[in-house]
Amino acid sequence: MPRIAEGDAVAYRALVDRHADRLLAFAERLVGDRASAEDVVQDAYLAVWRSAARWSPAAKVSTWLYRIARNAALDRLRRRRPTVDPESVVLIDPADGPERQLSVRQTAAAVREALDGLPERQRTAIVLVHYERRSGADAADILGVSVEALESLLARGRRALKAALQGRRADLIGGEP
Amino acid sequence: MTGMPAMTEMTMDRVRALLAAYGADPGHWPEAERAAALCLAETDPGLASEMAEASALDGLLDVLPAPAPNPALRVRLKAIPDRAALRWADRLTAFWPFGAPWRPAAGLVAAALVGIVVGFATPEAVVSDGEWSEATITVAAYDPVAAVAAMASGAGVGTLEILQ
Repeated sequence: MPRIAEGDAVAYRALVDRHADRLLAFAERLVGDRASAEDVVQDAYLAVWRSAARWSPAAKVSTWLYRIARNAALDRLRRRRPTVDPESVVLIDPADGPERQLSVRQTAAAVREALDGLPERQRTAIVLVHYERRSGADAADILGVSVEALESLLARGRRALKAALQGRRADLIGGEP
Repeated sequence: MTGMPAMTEMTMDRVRALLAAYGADPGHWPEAERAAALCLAETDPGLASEMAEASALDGLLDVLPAPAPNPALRVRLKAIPDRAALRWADRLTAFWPFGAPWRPAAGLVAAALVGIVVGFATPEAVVSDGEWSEATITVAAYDPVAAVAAMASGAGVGTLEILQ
């Protein structure tokens, strides 16, 4: 990071190679659509290039990047709510039959919708821990809260998701909801 | 801001709290508590229903696929330093719309250099009288005596001393 702060483009590009894909996945799950997520990651890396001097050695680089990406995502979310296109977010196994594919697609759309319906901090906590596999301590640091507060956010978020997705699991595995 | 929950021993309540927050995958649980919590979760039948519920929700969340990387985005991200440099060039062009901005910039630099050289090569004149205890006047090198004499007479200076 000190090299980037001095304008070293090679060091900056190494940072892109190392973290861009993860930040894109993180952003896409936060804002809900691909185009906005790419804008978020561009905003984040532009901020990194311009403000690398603000990085403190006390913070992990990846944690700092997630924090910047989250702030960029919040800016986007404040400007508009995402629209969900189920076709863009669902992975379909071609071996599945048409009914099963429809069920997976609908379930994925429902999960996407349920995530989008969570308060931002709960959604970010779940995305960081479940999807990004960040440790509780890292996720708490990114969100700027204690680990206890993070666990509270996670528990409330998961409870809300469970309520929103009631019946979907049975539907997905072909049983009765 | 961060800190691990203070744990002295693993309890059923703590395992339930871990399941409620992190889900059923022990890989998500805090490392310091993982082994003890897993041991209790696997052996105590009282936690089976919580484990199953947490696992079901994990399965639903996993239906969302991992977003695919975008190589074109990487290219755009890597071009940010170049674009930032270009932006400065754009600002210069806006300031000087009559051609390449390096030309007036080079002219300014050349003029400044000439000024510095002339300044160092020019003799220094010290003028003093009753009102002006001391003054230093730098004049053009081509006729320093005449220039200083003219300025001194205009200001009513009595004594003129030229330092070579």
